[in-house]
Amino acid sequence: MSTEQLQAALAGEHAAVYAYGVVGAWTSGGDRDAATAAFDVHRARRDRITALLTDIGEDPVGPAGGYLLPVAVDGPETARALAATVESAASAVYADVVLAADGDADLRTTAARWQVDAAVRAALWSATTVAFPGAPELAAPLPSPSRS
Amino acid sequence: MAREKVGRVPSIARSEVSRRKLLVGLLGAPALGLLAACTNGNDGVPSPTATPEPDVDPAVIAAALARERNLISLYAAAPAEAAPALQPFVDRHRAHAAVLEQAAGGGATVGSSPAAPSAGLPPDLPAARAALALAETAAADAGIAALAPVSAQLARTLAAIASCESAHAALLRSA
Repeated sequence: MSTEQLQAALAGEHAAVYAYGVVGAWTSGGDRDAATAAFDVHRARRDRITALLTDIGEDPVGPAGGYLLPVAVDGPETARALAATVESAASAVYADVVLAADGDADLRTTAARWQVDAAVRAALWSATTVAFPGAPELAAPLPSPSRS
Repeated sequence: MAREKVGRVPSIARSEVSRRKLLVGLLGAPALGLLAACTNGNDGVPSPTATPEPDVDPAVIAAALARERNLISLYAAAPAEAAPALQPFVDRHRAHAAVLEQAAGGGATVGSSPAAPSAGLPPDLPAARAALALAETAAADAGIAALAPVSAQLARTLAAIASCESAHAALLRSA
């Protein structure tokens, strides 16, 4: 089953909650509102996965003592970049749950919707997207004529 | 503030599968299921939930491919002034189609699944963008709806494509 991937998703949600605290501190206006709403979403996901793991007798991972942000935030622009990075990472952890939830259609579909949700927020923060959010290996170049 | 507000995907509200159902899904794979997951072979082990029908894959791939071709033809009908801005969207759909064609094994399915006739787009650019966004959302919803019974790798592919399409819809609406 996919408790390992759910734990990874939970760790990602802990990190996302932390990161959105930073994003919220460096943004204003519509971006601030979006950061607040995203913070709420990630906190709810965190709580839901925590409860889910607890209920099946797993020990849910807690938040890390501290986080090294993947983006050095020093203003609104880098704050948006951090938010986009967080959401890209979220789409990837849920893509892994999709793959691991073989035989559990409900979990697979829910994880896919959360992956979609993260990809949408990533796109809105970065004003672009990629062909396969969360599953970058699919974007590997197709077999092409070998270079000489 | 409404929770989930930022996820401007209409389907999110419906995504809230009750925890009970999730639990059933997880608990439905007790010790036996955990072991079975390791081998993933399930050889001869009847399982009420963990037996995806590999036979559904080709039809799901063909339908997904038809959706991609339909979207590509829809973008081709967009107002010319928008073409440069929309080209990356088209390129990503071509990438989706290429992966799906590979998944189909380059067999007869690929050539024999025509794109649905495109309805065309309004000439007015904002209206065209709105129509494209609707089509992207519809394709994403169809992909998500299709992924429950398919093989794990195809589910991953469909979920990633749906993620891109929903992102497209959001970008088209936010511009």
